[in-house]
Amino acid sequence: MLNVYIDFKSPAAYLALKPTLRLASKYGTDVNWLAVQTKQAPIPEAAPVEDRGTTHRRIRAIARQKMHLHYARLQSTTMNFPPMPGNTDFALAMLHALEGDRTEFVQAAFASYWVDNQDLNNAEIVSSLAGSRQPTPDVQNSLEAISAQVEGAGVIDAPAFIIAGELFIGREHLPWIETLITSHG
Amino acid sequence: MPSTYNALESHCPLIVYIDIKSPYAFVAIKPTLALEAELGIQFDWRPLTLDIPSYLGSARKREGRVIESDRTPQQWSGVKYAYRDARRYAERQGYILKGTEKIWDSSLINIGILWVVENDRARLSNFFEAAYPPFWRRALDVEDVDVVKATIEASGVRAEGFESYASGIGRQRHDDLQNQLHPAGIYGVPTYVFDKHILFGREHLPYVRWYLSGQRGAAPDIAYEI
Repeated sequence: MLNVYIDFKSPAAYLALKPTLRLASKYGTDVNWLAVQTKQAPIPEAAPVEDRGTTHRRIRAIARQKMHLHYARLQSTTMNFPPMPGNTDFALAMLHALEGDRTEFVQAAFASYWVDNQDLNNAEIVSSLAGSRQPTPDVQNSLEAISAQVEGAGVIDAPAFIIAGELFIGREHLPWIETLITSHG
Repeated sequence: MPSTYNALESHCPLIVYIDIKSPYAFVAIKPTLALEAELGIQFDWRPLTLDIPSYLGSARKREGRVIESDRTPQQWSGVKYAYRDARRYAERQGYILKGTEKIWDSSLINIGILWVVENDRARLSNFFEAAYPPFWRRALDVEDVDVVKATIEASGVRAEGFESYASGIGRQRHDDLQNQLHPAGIYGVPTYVFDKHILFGREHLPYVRWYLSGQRGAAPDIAYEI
């Protein structure tokens, strides 16, 4: 079992979806999709006068977005950054509430956010993605439970993978994760 | 030997920016050197002296305990994970990686990179091996010019004249280069610059390999190769 913490508004989590599913499929490994609330900020405007730290953060934000778009093209994955990062709380609460295999919902929610730029804090949109099988989640309680789970696991960003007690943040670790799948099942 | 450096231009097909005080740069050295050898292409290795407190807060430790810090809890969580992460990869490479006790001024040892490149480029990998692993074992004071000179000599490169280079033309070349980096879109280490690409992190090495070796087949995704 591979535990994967995601947030639908995280570009890195979105780009991890296909490679993670490919790896899981290769070894017949179950993926347990878990929610984590991440902070996504828009690219800051350049100010006429900036301190070094502000410039660093702005340059980094621009570079990271370019990098995500570059690898999205290589993956043939449609990726439309919304003008402002959206709120995905309701979708995360839904992910937390769903039982069984949540892959279909995860794929639908990621596509909804990154292809169609839909509002994943909208109950109607999220419920339609989840299908009719689930009741409306209690968002506040779910987010508190998610926060406790994430803190306990030491997860600080998405995508985070936990396998054999090891925490990995980012899909760049998939080669190591693959060795753990083969040695631990 | 360049008299000045342009942040995005080189006579080599790839520029690699590194800084000794970054654990991620440390674990990138070996695989990047391996790629250089595999491709049979000389890379243009350059220093990027990070100003860590400007974007990640500052901290000072003594005997493993934090004695000064202006970092937020989120910054600490990120820093702790980064060290844990780099450490496990360093161990796979056969190295020890201990957390640093302070944020070092690495400009002097970084000027050492320019010195070695300009004086004996063939021994650059020796210099990395003489400098990086001891630094991460907390056994190298990279702010001490005599220590840096000894490190240069340990890598088989003559160090005579380094002191005046480090306070003169070498310092000037280093500082001129640093001033170009942010405007060029370069902010961290390791950064790989090639043919209009600026990619931060060793996870891009599979793409760099694919690109520099003829772009045959499907382009690879990011990965830390193990």
